[in-house]
Amino acid sequence: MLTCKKMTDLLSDSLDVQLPWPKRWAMRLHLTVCKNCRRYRKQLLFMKKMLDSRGKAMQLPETARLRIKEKLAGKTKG
Amino acid sequence: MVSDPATWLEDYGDSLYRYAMLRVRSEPLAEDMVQETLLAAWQSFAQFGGQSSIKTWLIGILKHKIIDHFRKYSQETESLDGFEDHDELLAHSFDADGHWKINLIDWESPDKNLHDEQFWQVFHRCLARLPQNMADLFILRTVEGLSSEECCKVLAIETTNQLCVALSRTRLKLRQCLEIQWFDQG
Repeated sequence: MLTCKKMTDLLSDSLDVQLPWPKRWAMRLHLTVCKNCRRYRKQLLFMKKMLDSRGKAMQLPETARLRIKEKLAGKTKG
Repeated sequence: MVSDPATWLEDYGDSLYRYAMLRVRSEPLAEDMVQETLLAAWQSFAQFGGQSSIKTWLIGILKHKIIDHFRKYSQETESLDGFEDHDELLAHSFDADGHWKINLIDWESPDKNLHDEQFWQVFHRCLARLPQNMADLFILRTVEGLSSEECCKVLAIETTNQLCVALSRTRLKLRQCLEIQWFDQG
């Protein structure tokens, strides 16, 4: 039987890679009986979704882009 | 093509800026760091051996600039090197059998917080409280989508297994901070 501590590692791994089916099956079983782990999974997905959205909106401002471009052009010509 | 710095700016400028912004939380400073990174990369391109991708190499240069910045201004006092001991966090969260000994709160929908600047202030504060390597790992893996192997290279972590454990502990720590600082406040 999986412990909750082990589940936190597996849930974290599952955000980054496709886990083998025996692990996924064991996790699914554990989630059916453990409310805290269901909430932890939801919280991990929350953090991922929030950061995905925030990250996409964070872009190098055009003024800075032009300034850096000029600076690089000056250096590379020299 | 990879030796054209103008291409680096177009291809990796946003990635470098995001990483810098999430770490230093200042637009002018993040912009300067992107510029310094690209200039340093251009000047040391002859030493680039091609063992990693250009993006990983540039992020490695930027990471050192961020470390230098924090050392100079001592904004981060805890655990500048490596990953800190997680025993306390685990002891707080789990009993001897490895089961939760705290009741996790049911967090509300992400959509509700996405445009709430107060939430993001709390989030950045929690991110800043992480040891430096943990914050780097979380940003590079979660936001920038660097592969495990690339993260290991940039952060000098020996195995991907160590990286997975460190990432899991980082998420656990960030979750705990957000719950205390934000979700448990209402």
